[in-house]
Amino acid sequence: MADDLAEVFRSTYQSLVRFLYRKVWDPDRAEDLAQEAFARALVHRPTNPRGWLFIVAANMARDDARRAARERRHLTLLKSEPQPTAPPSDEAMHAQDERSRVRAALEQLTPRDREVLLLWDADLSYDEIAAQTGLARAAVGTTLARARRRLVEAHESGGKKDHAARR
Amino acid sequence: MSPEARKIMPHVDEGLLHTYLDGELEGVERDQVLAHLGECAACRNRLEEERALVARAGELLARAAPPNRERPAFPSVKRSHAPGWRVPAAWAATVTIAFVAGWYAQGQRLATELASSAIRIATEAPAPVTQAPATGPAKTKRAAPSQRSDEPRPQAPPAAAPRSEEAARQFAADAAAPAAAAGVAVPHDDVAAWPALDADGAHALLGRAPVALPGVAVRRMARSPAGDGVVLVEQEWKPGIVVRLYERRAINLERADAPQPSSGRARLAPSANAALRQDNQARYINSLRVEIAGPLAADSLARLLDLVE
Repeated sequence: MADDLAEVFRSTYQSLVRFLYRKVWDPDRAEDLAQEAFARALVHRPTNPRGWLFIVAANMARDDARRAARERRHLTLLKSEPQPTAPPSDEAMHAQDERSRVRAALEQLTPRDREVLLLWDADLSYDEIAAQTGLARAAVGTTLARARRRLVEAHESGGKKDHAARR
Repeated sequence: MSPEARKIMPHVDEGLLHTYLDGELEGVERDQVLAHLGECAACRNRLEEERALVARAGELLARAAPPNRERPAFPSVKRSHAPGWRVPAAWAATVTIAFVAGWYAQGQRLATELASSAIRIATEAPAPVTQAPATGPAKTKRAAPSQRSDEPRPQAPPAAAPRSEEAARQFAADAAAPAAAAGVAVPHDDVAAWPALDADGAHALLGRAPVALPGVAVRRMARSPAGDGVVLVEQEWKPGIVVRLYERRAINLERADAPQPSSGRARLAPSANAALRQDNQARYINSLRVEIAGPLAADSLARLLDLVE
């Protein structure tokens, strides 16, 4: 079983981090949560580790987001001071900007569409997504088609808005 | 290609096109789609549009990917030090308490034990929990089976969610390891098979009304078939998330009609361990020992535990 889990770790860790990153938007936090999920799997020994990991990860990300929101409320006053870090490069700024736009576009999706899209992008199969979300397998393709279309549309309209705002 | 496949295929809907483009279309359905695409220029055009959409969406998602860092070694997974995951310390503390309590009860034959109803809350996470609760009506617990007779794919296990039976088995498995080490009996944890119980029966076993999450309907009450006086209270905390409370009556060894043998307290140890290994939190509430566990973050479980009364 530990061997199985080690294999799942090799094949799934990066996907799980990617999945979590699109939920918490903090690479360190995403890695922490992914490792926490695997640590729990080591204890629980689920019979289907991949599915179990994504369920647990989604729950942890949700709790994490709630806690982050709570902490933000408490830290609003403290955060008013500027951070003493070096200004990011143009390239980093551009990447950050792109990421923010995709994030904003993802947030335009319904929770279900977004979840299915993120699970697919985390390399889950249609069968796994169906089991994970309770959707019929036949509905996964339709959901993905809609999610992709909305993502692209939301990204384009967001970009136009940005462009208009800059002028 | 069978003649039927050619006849019955109408225009291909976008869901099927995406399923095809994702490499997830199989068997007869795939043959039908391919046959139709071979004859229908409109659908071929749409296929190309959808292919561009799939590529574009993938490209956008790639821009929102985390930095590609090296995977840490397994199993030296590090523990996060964020406030929500103070699990190891809690494990250590309560494991110690449970073992000391078991040793003490057996060695000293305490005349009167502190009330020690054990309440374990195991939180199940059936299929829908990956979604935010607000996404819509409650879904069926099991994914609808595929409409087609696809062969199962090796990378696609049939059930992803740890469902109730599986959770119970995991729970039992978790209980077994520390119990073996401690040399104590393992309580039966196949809770799905526990006999049902009504409110009066629960009251009789516990000597008081069972505690529960207030304002949440009780789905089921059951008693442990092991005759150890453990009462299970199942509540649907949120749609799709069933919370289990395991409650045990206070042990009074002085009384001849005490429901527990003298080893009863010791037998709490594996339960406590099992629950602990599910990131539990435990505390005394009104002379009851309350434990909470489940695949949720420790702080969520602690908040749930705060609600129990």
